[in-house]
Amino acid sequence: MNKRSVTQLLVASLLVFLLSLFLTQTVEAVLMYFKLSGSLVEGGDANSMALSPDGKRVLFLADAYQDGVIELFSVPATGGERIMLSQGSTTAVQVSRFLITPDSQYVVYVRNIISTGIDIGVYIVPIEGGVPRELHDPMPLHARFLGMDISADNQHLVYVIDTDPYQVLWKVALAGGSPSSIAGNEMDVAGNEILFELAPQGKHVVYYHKSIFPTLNRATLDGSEGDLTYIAGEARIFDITPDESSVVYLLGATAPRRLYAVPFGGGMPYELNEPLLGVGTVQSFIISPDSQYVAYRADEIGVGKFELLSIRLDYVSDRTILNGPIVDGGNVFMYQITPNSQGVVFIADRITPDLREL
Amino acid sequence: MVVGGQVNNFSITPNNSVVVFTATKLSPDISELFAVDIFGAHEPWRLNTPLAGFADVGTFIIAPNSTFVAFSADTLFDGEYNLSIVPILGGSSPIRINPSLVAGGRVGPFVISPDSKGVIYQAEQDTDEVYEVYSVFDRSLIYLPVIVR
Repeated sequence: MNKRSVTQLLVASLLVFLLSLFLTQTVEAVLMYFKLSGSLVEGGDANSMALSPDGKRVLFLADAYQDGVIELFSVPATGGERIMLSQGSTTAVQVSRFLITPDSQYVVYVRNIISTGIDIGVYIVPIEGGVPRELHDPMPLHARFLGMDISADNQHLVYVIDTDPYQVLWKVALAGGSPSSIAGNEMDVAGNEILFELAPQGKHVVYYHKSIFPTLNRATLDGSEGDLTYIAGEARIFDITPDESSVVYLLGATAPRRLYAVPFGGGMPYELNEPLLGVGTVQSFIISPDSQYVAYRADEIGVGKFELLSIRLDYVSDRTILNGPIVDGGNVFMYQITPNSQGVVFIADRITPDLREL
Repeated sequence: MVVGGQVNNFSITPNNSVVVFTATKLSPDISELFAVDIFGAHEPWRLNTPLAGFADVGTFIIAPNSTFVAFSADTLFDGEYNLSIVPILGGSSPIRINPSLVAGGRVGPFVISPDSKGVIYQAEQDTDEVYEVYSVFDRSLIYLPVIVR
């Protein structure tokens, strides 16, 4: 190789290097856009978009092929083939709602009659497409799903069906099998009410059931343990600690409400708030992510002045007023515990009435 | 806080360091996006560019990796909500991440991917009154936001 060739090679290499540098910067600068819903028939819409927990697929409802015929679709989040997951919608029957399993592998969806809102079927289908399988067959007549959730272990669908005049709490294994009722039936009092929350580990459901008497209860989804009733009382607002050590609830149909906790496995409930004045009430609460504390909003110190307080669930220390002094007429409004459970951020008109600050 | 102003909403970054909030802090009629360190050691900083009198910040979401905020705002025309991202710590202007909207269009609900690499959103982007689903990712698939050169 002569000297001229070496020079030419060096110059060419330099140019390639500079070009690659330029291209790299350009590549970093470019955003990639994807129209995930694909082409829609005239008059069609895509709505109710949801991202799978693993971030890989986007689900949405759309009347993609015929105006007013709403089906469920799945598409990769970074673009790709749009797959129709549901079947059989018409201008009278549509997919009305859906849930994605925590492991992002399946989708559960409900079909209803558009004109009446009556739900006529609940199905499961792989998120990347397949044949839907009915989970509750036959559906009760005049059914309306009031709430539905999938257990954290991806094993069960838990749902409340209202068939007017009574509600039933159901569970069904996603892998197959017959649904079974957890609470409520045709013999229940008309106008009964059921509210539920699935426990974080996916093995239990905690539910409030207002029948002849209101109760707060726990059931095991795989049937390995017996059901238990925590309390008889109005406990419509409740939550489970992330570590499944306690159930925290507000007791009382209306104000004044008191804040209680009961061991998750059952036992004596204990009151968390300090004795309240007159009509003083606990209005809301949040459990810390580490399951150690409950922050709550109450007019515990002065009636009508809502402040932010916290109490340890293990009662190691007394309850603490978190907001400091509040001007007369002031209140705490919104609040949130930090993800590390070390603090609480809140909005209050603490210094000047009606001036809500952070 | 200006007279008549207030904090409307807030969210805490997953890394516990910053609180992002909307407030009518500088004008009682304009909701804007701010951030403040969680201990309040510094004054809050504004994340959006100055807004016209008709404009507002709509909703916002903090990225799971705590580096940026995605938010909607009708910065150009009243009611035409576009989607932008901005570093939580400030230092650069927001970048609009949806393409130009059709006249009368708007961005609706949006989510950030769990890996913070993209944003998925509904919008009347191509046809007025027709919501469709879109996503935007950094081509390098590293994470948003990118610096647009």
